[in-house]
Amino acid sequence: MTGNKLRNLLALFRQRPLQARDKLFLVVIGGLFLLLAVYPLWGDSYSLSVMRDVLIMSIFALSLDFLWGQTGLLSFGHSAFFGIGAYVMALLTLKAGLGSLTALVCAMAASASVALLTGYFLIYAGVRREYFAIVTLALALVGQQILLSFANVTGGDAGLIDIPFLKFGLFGAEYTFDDNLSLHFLALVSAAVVLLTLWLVLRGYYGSILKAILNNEQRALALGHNTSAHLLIAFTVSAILAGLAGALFTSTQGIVTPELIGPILATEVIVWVAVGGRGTLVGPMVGCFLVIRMRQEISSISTTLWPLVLGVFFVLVVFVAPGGLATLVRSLTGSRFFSAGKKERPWT
Amino acid sequence: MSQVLLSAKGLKMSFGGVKAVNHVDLDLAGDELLCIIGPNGAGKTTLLNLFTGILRPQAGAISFAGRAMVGRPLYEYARRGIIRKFQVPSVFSEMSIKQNLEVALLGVGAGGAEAGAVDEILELIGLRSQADQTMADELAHGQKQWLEIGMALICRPKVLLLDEPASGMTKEETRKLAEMLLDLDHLSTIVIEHDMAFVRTLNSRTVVMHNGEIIRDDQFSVIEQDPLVGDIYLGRQ
Amino acid sequence: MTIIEITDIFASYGPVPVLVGVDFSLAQGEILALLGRNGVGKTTLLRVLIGLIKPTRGRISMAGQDLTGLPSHRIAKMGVAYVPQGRGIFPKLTVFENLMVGTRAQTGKKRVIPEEIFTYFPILKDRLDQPGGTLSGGEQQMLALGRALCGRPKLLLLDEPSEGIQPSIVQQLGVLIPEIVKTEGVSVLLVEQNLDLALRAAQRCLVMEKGSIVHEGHPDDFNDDKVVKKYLAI
Repeated sequence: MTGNKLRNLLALFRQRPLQARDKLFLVVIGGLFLLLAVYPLWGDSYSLSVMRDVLIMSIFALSLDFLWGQTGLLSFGHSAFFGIGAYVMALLTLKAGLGSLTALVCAMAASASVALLTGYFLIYAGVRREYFAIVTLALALVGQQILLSFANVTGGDAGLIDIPFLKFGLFGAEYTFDDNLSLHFLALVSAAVVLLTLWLVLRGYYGSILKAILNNEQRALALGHNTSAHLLIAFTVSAILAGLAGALFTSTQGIVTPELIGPILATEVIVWVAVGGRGTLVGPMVGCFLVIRMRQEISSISTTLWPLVLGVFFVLVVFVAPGGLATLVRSLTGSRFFSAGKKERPWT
Repeated sequence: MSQVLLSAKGLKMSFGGVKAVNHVDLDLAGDELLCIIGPNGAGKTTLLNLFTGILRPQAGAISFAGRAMVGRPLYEYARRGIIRKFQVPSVFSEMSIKQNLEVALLGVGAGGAEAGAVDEILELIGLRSQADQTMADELAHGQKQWLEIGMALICRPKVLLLDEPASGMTKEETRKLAEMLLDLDHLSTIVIEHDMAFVRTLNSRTVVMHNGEIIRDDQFSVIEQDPLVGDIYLGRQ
Repeated sequence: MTIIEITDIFASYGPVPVLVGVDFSLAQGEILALLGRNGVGKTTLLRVLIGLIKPTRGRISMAGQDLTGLPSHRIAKMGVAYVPQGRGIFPKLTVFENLMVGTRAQTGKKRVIPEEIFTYFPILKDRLDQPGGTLSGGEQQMLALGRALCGRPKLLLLDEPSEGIQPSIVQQLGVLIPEIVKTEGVSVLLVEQNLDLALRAAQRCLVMEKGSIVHEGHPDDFNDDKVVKKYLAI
């Protein structure tokens, strides 16, 4: 019986044959990442650090897109998991002196635990949509409050500095990611791996199941899918990825502050995903890049101007391309590359 | 006569003072085809909701293959072989026809084995030519019915519960559906229907519900002649 | 007198063509049945007539006025009432409130529920304060029809009114619809899969196939099995 169960589980990740649009996706993504790989050749130190931050934040964006785009559950406080990952990583490497790999795993486990605990009570109770969003917002607020309260441990308002860089031992030799080049490739490879993994997972039948639950949960239940379990798993995986992003961020930046767990970052990540195109995976990464770059340019002129510009920009996107920029691109290039094939008349 | 597969005893369900199901006893054997007819509001769909776990009876018990079913999680009903078609076609609107069927297969844990089953069902429900391109939402009402029936059949149910499967179907499609149901082996079927031509073709054991109770349980040919049934439901023929 | 004239209507769902040249007209006080297989465009045609879908080509004119491309609420005010498949009543509003919504299509300042509605559908009077969602399927169909009539329409678009309704009430509808037409002078375009109802109520039948009308005839024509098989078989 377990052999059968295992076979069915593996079948979830069985891949459909590659279609034209999949090949295009891979080509475009491949080209983009290749370009980014050679970016250090002309980018200066500052630009490289910005690109690195964007790449790591894009992992955070992917984590939310996986949840929101595929299952429809909107986590309004997703920065809670990012911040947990960041702080656990920081504390374990700085104060407890743990090795990078161990600390990384613990950081992700910490995010996962919080997600499992809160998710279980919410999801199995049938909480969805707006109500789910509001409760998860509370997570970010509570998280921030806890950090500020235990200031002697967490550094309170100011946060912590001198967080050690990532250090991995490989074949006896130890490698520290502490210079621009290695950090750049660390961020690039991490983002690429997360993107490809999510893409593969969602291409398989598992993606169909999540989409079905999003579409018509009652029907999915009536066909035998344990929808609550699927949603909880998705929520937890999303939290793990957010925690990973947080941990990477703090070990590359060297500092950690309560902003990383607070509601402002939680809102920003939603904007990245919405602007880029919910459910498209690549869209949120692009959205992340655009909005972060915009913030830097605007903030260098005036810090108070940024929230206004962000608001206006968001409203514009809602009117011009409510599905996000990715869908705008889709409609501009025509349905040739992005639809499933030539549409026939609906009658037999 | 095969063994009793699905058994309901003393089922009671009220909504705010209205007795939707009022002490219903029903036994269904394996391999049996049963029709439930009755006026709108008689409690037929409510009964089906009780059989599939969507509603929890306020009194009474339901057992399937000897197991008590009341209180079990919804998805377990399908996994044990109780599959349902809803009164208003309920499919995955933003997924293609083929994907709809695949999700149905995956629900009962058959995703690993049955790749050919999808093609077979597509052929049966007559939607093969548009399977990949057409979103379920774009289908006409009757085609959605067929899709949902296909999704139910692909799960290889032990008990198939169809709530008004013929609504929105042409006369020919209705005939095809009746033939298909009569051909099905190794499963029990409960059909709720208002299309008397369809029910007449099935000519099976028929149960008449009225005000939440079962008032008649007999072959359709007998029920059809019953004056009470004519009064409350069939009208003048 | 022709109440509505449809000329060369084309319509699509995005890139997919659904109606490819529909022409017909409806006389005042006429009940016209629209038959055809699934997916041929019957519901789409009704939705074009009520303005939910804009035709890509063609013209709809009613009593001399051009309805093509007008928004639905304007079309409703001009006297077209639509009873969609599945009734479309508001489950959280009471029977009374549902009917009052229907009166919005009335021209004139004061909006009243016409008493005739309760003559046709006495059961609605009994259930005035009940939420629409608690009514049985047959009662909801009565409510949907009653609501449509509250607007005092000139043209009634009925999409599968017999669907999900018990046989005795379907028979009632078969008697009621012609009666309403005679008393109110309203014209009816009836989409129906239930041939018994369609042939009993209608004076003329149109058959659609692949987005256009392929046959026009008298209901008696369809007593012939061969005709039925030719146009309505799978």
